[in-house]
Amino acid sequence: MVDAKKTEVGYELPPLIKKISDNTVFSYSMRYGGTYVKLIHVDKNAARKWGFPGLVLQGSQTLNYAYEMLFKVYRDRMIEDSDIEATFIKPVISGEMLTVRGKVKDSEKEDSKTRLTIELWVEDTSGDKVMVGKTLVTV
Amino acid sequence: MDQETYNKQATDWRKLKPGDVVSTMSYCVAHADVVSYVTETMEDSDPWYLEDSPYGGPIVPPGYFYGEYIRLLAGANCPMGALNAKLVFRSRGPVLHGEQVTLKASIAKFYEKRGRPYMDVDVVVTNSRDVEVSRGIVTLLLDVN
Repeated sequence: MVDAKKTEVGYELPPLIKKISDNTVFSYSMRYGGTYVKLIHVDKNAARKWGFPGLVLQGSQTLNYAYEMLFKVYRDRMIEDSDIEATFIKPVISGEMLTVRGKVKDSEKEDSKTRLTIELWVEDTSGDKVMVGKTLVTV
Repeated sequence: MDQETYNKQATDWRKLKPGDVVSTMSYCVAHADVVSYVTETMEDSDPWYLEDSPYGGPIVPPGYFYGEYIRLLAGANCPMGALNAKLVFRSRGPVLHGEQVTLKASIAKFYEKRGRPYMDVDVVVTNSRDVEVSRGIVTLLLDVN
């Protein structure tokens, strides 16, 4: 049972902060070693060749962090009935500190359930948004 | 292999069409791999992922499957494009450690935005009872060759 306060429009989820290191990026990308991984995720020289100052975090990893923040609050509801979407608008480079944020934008009653729309975004160290999106979750 | 070399040798995306199933794979989600993913890769040691959950055992984080399109597409020598522009995923149920899952990737659509070509790939994850537990759309910006 989700606390009623967490279903109110305007509720801000506790932010999640993640320090992105070379190992963070490398470890995720090398899960796909043996298939094909873009070198910008695993090779600093290749990343520089493409104009990035360091290893580039995969978008799917950033989305994982957003899910982590949501799961801490909505638990089984995120497992059983949730939709999450994200657009990646700025590359995340190793060394950045990411802050994942979310805010309830809409709360709609459907019979005994409530459908929440949560605005999501992720900021880098300079405060720029690197990912924007939303989640729908039934609580 | 660098991105340019990979995409040059991959199947030409113009030869693919919406509805094409490009790849399927089935595997047992190994306990050791989930533990490694949760503790070392994602650094999210939630007890539901490592110890126990209301579902009768530790579960696999839904995000475990977000990046599986890489394995599905690369395994079928499909184009990976220049970058992953957008991801949409739904979660409809748990996957337990050690459970058998099947993943299927198919082409959802091609379209252009600001003169650049994009490909949407539909990724479906079913559990051992053939129930859909997760479904996603991966949007890739394709190279213009």
